Amino acid sequence: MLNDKLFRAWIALLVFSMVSTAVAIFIDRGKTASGANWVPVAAGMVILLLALIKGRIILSRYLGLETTRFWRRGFNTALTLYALVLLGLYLAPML
Amino acid sequence: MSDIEQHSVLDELPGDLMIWVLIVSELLVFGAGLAAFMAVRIIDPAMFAEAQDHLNRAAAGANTAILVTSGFLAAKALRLREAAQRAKARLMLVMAAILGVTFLWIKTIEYRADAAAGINIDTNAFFTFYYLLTGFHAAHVVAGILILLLVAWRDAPRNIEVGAAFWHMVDLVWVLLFPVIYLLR
Repeated sequence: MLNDKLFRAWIALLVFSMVSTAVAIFIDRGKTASGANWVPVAAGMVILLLALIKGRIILSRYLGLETTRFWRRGFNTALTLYALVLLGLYLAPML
Repeated sequence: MSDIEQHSVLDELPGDLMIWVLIVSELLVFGAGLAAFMAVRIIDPAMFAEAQDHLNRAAAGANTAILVTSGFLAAKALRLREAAQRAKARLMLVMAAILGVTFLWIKTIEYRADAAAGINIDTNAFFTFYYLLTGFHAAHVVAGILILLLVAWRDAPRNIEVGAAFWHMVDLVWVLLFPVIYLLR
C-alpha cells in the first residue's frame, strides 16, 4: 500500500493538515498584529507553504494532473503565484 | 478536410474539459474571496486576530482530515471502477459522501456555537467574510455529496471521473480556505 501514490498522497495531506493546525494552535499568538515577534510570522509562512504543497498534491494525485506535464506545470505555477499574493497580503500589516 | 485529428493540449487534461472549466471558475471565485479577506485584514489585523480566536481550529482541522480522506475514497472509487470492481467503487463513493455529511455536521456545530456566542454575519468584517466563504463552500459540499451519490448510482467510469473531480475541487478550495481563515495570525 505504501507503494501506492494515491495512498501516500492521502497520508501526506493528513500529516500536513495536522502540522498546520498544530503550528497555529501552539504558536504564541497576539504578537503578529503588533509586528513585534518573528515566530508567528514564520509560523504563518510555514502554514501558507503547507497549504501550497497540499494544493499541489490534490491537483497532481487526486485530480490526475501528474499524467500531463503541461497542465501540471500551469496549475502549479498559478497556485504558487497565488500563494505568493497571499503571503504578500499576510505580511503587509507588518511593513 | 483532413481525417487526421489535430492534437491539442486540451486533450491531455484528465476527464471532461467542462469539469476543468468549472474547477478553474470556482478556484477563481474562491481565490478572489480569500484575497479580498486578506486585503481587508490589512486595515485592522488586531480585530481579525481577535475575531479568529472565536473560531474552533481543532474542529476545522478535523474537518480538513475528513475532507482529504473523503477525496482519497473518491479517487480510489474511480480506480476500482476502471478495474471493473463496481461494488467496491460504489461503496467508496457512498463512504466519501458520508464523510461529506460528517463535514457538514461539524460545520453546523461550529455555526451553532458562533450563534450561541452572539456572532453573526454582521458582527464585523471578519465574520462577514467567514460566513460568506465557508457558507458558499458548504453549499458546494452539499452539491458534491449529491453528485457522489448520483455517480454511485449511475456508475459509468466517465461519470465517476467527473463527480470525483468536482469533489476534489471542493477539497482543494478547503485546503486553501482553512489556513487563510482559521490559521493565519
